[in-house]
Amino acid sequence: MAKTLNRQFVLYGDIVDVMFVYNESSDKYFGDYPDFDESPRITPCGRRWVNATKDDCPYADKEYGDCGSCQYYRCEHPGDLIGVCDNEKLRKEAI
Amino acid sequence: MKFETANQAAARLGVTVRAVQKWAKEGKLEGAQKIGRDWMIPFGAVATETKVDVVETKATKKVFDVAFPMFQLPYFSGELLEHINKISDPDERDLYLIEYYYFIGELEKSEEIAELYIDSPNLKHRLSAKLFSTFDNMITGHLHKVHFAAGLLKSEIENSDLTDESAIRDNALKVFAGVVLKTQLHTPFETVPQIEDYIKHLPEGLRIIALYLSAYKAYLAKDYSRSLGIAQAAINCATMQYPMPMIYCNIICAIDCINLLQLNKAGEYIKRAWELAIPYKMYMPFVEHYSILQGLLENNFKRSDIDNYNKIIELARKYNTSWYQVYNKKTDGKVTMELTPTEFTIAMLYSRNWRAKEIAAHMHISERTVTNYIQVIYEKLNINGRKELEKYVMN
Repeated sequence: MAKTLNRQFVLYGDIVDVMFVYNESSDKYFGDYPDFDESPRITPCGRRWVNATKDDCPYADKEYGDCGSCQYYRCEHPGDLIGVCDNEKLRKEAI
Repeated sequence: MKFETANQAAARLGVTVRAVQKWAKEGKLEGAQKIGRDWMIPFGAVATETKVDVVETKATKKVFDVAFPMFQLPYFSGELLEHINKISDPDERDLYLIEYYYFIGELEKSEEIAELYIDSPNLKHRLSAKLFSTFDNMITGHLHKVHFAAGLLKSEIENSDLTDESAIRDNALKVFAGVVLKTQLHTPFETVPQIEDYIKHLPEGLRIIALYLSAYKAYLAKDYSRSLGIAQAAINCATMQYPMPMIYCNIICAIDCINLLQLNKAGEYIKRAWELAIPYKMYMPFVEHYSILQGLLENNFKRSDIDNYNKIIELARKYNTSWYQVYNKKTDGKVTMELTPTEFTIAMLYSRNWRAKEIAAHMHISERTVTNYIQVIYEKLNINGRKELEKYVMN
């Protein structure tokens, strides 16, 4: 049976559980992240959870275009692949 | 016992240094000893079996005086290795073999012969040996030898008067070798002049490669249209087939087209390069460009020609890992050592601002699969955005 770990991502009082599965060939754990485009999720304060790989946001940094490189991307730890969008314009839309 | 160097023995016997080294290696020069890289020959020693050859060679031998012969070969036919092995002049045969073995990815064999010519008194032999020795050792991971051979080539060029009109053809060859080194390996080499000033003094095969180098320079400056124009002109102006230069020109055209989002044309060019190269197992032009081919090999040959594709991937991994270790200390080869070829291709495209759905269409996979790949790439590299990914793959 594959080795797994669970991690809780906590931002703005909201908690997202992600399971990590161990990969022997690269000796690393890889996360089974939710797709927030398919299943949107909003924090209690109205901020959107986003995947760092999302690359079709009209408010994203023009040069790179993805959430992971965007100034509004907030994550619990550097390098996290899911986080919350801090853009007020999107927050208002969400509310 | 008094000894002399291989060079001194060659001068005394009236043969090439290569012949002396070969006899020493075969045990035909009694008492010859290898010290480090050099053979020491007992003073006055003569290989008895070759006495007749020596006399004949002294009187009649015409020196093979061609630099980078594979680039100047006007066409390929039949079994290349068989043809090369039939060449009677040992220097000519060896110079072909250095390049032939390099291009088919038999790097140790190429290096074994190149080593013998690094100190050759003949400029053209020396240039070929130094240049190919640099590339051979790059892939076999002998990094100190990469610096050694590249350093010898650099000093050869830096110590020459490149403005000397009476030696303009030799100077053009030196500049050619220097520009190959600078462009292909991205080595800092500010003292080498522009190849464009010397192109007209090169023989036709090398002239086409020089144009490919100009195109590659334009590509590096992200001027893809100009790069494509130069390479297309080189292809169309050649008076003979020149397969090696044409493989390189078609590859750079394919890369330019993909950057200009002319995907069908990119496919046509890469197929043309493949048709010229793969029947003769000329893998290295693809290996050298693998990191910027952006899925073209996967798209066109991974399913239809898996054995040759796998050979290229195997060599490309070694090449890229060593390249990063030599020239890109910042990322330390992580990107090529940890990523699979497909992940590397997706990383390249994604870092160039291709959207996930564009990569999906290009690679015939779903958008969700692309996103999964990007997540795996990020986890392997401990990053979470395109901006950081760019630092890894675009350097």
